[in-house]
Amino acid sequence: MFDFTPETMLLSALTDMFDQMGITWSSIVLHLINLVILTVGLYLLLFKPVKKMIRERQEKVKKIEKENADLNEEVKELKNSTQQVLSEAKKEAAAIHENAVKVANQKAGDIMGDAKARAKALIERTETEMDEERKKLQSDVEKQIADVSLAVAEKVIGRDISKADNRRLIEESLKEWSEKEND
Amino acid sequence: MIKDSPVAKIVVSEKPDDDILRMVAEFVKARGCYKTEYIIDPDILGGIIIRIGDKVYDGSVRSRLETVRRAL
Repeated sequence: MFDFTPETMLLSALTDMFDQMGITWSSIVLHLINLVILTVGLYLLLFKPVKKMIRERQEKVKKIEKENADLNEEVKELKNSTQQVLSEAKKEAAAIHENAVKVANQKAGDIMGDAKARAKALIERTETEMDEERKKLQSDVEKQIADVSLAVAEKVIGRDISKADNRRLIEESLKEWSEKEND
Repeated sequence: MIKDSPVAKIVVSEKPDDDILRMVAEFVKARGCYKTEYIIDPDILGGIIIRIGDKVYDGSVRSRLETVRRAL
């Protein structure tokens, strides 16, 4: 009795082909066992170390990435810090500038005030000196006028005073002195 | 007493007449002075100056003008 299902036919064809190529089922099994042993050997000797190495490299890469991220974060922080420092420096510079301007304005005001006060004092002193000079001049002129007037009067009196006038003056003086002493 | 009395020095601008001499003599006698010494000094311009010891009576025209000058 013959079974002519496609599977048996394929198996028969394969057997024929193996026979023609000199391959037997036992050699296939042996090859399979070799393959298994080779696979296990490769797994143990090569795959595991490679896997371990890859894992280590991955961890290393992760570590480097983490370090990189940390560095980036640090750089970012440094950048922020630098920005903050710059901002603070700018603010400080602006405050210093403002203060300097304020101080300069104050000093300018003080100098102006001092100059004004000095000018005022100078004007007052000059006016006082001028006033004193004017009064002195006026006094001198008055004195000179008085001196000239009296010099003229002396000359006129010395020339024009008569004997009678002189006698009358003497009489009046004697009378005045007597009356004063009697009082 | 008359001998010990102080000398009254009298300055006038010109020689005095008798009336003036008499009036002056009476004036100085009244102040205990019996001797007089006359000095003629035209610079006093007029009037009379009598000096008895430390006391000076100045009625000269020059002193009056000086008073006026000081007042001015």
